[in-house]
Amino acid sequence: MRVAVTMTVTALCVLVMAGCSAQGESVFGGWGGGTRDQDRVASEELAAEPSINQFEEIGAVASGGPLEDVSFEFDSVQLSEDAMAVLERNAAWAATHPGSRIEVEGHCDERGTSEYNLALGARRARAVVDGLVALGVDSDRLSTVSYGEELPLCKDANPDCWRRNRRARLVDLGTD
Amino acid sequence: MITCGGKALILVVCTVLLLINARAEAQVRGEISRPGSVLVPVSVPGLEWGGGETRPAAAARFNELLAEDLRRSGIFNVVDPPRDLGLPSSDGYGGWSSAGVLGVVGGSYTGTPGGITVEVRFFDVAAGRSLGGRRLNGSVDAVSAMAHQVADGVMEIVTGREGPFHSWIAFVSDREEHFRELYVYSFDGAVSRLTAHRSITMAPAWNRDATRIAFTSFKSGKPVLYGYDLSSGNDSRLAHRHGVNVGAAWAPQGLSLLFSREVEGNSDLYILDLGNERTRRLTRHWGIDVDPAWSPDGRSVAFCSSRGGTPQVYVMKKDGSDMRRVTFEGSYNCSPAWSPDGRHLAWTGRVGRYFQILAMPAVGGKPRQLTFEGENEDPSWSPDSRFLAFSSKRTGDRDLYMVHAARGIITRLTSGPGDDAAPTWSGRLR
Repeated sequence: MRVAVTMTVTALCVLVMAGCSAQGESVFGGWGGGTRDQDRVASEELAAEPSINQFEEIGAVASGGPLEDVSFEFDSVQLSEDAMAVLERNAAWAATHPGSRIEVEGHCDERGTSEYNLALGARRARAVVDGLVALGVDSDRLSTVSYGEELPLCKDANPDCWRRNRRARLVDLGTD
Repeated sequence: MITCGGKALILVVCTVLLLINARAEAQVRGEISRPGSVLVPVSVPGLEWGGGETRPAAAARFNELLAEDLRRSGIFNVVDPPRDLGLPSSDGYGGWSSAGVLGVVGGSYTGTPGGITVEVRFFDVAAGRSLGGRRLNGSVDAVSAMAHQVADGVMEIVTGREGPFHSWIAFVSDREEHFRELYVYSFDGAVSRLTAHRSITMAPAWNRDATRIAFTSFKSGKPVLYGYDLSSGNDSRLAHRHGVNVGAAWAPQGLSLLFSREVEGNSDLYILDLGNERTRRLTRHWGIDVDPAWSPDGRSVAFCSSRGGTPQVYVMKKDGSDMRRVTFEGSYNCSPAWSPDGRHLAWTGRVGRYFQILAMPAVGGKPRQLTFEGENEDPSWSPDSRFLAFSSKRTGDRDLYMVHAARGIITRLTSGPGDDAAPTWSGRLR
């Protein structure tokens, strides 16, 4: 049952996200011009499993869900202006969904060593958590995990793919 | 054991080469020097049947693997033996000395009820005598292990230093499914899967006697350190610390484990006493500290830290004192590996756009680049400190390769679908 739900959710994510722009502008939550219907889907049905479980189903961790990925530069944990804008939208979503827990996953591109990237991913996740807390999100609702370079969105050796993989992914874990 | 006249043999070989070609002498001495050196030509005629059961298939397999190991040794050029030339004997080496080889690696086998006994010697053609050999017996299934042991012994006879082929290389791969599981490669080309966690496995590390592998697995959802026991096939948690736990390195004495642990986004190095399970913190810095590697004497630790702004290799005493940075060229130097003889450090460094394997003397010196093609990572020394296993994406997929550290000769070890990564070379199997 759980598996079927996850797969359905994944499929929904892919379908819904297919229309998104490359900038990661979200159709969810009312801040990115999404329709009322999509907003409802996002808030009611897209409570994704933590990605390790999603990984079991599809072998990669697709973006999607009500929260937006935060992007980083190579070997950096700095939150750019764009990243801060994303954080503000994510914090706004969190404010309208009190009680929902959020897991922040740190990811890296494949360049550099695996263990360093695991540590770097942890640091990216922490940077996002700190940013969300600064924007008023209760730290008790937030958890982190690093996947380093182990769960890439794509495996091509080119700058565009590397950029997509350098991200903090925010997963709505739902309410307890 | 081989009674070895390593130095004597080098002398003998050099003398022979002087007679044949004066220029070659320095080059053979240069086993430890540079690419392009002359390889010692040897022949590996098949094992002769010496009695008991006939076991042609096992004998042929033995010979094939022995020749392959010698070919990969970076010491020998294996040339086809002339037809109908028996093994050298006290009666004469005549045919062999005109065959253009300096050595003959050969012998005989006896078929025992359960297996095979092999006796192989290294014949020095110019000196006209055997310099030693090895007699081994085992089951038919053990012929590959026997071939690796003989090859390692022949390398010892010729250079004074035993070879590395009777060993395993553990690594992680998603070759079967998209999960990353723990695998082990042996030099007969066999690859065996050890885990079935259906999760992410990272950073395997052998203990000293090659009976256990420490690794990090996400099978519980978070990165946790486990130890895999090769005899039972079971794994158990090694550390119960919160946060990312990765990069385990067994102390040379086997009693403690170095690893990096992340708390609140910051990774530092810790040492776990395997006797009392107590953990002690070794580094305390806002920078990322990961990838610890022991010096073989157990006194020092090399590791990777971003404390200077970019990831660089540092060395410190095992209590955390006397820390010094040892890499200065380039913006990214990480994953240090200390050679088992203590003489060299190798690591992954960014050279231009790509990551390469580099090495330098452990006491300091100029880094030498060992790879030049594609992305390369994860160096791990062979037990004889001659070779480094590493992973490379030079063909698209990530596969395992090894490089002869002194000569730069690169040999591909694995191929096929999926990414093979994080090779870690065991000590010699006993």
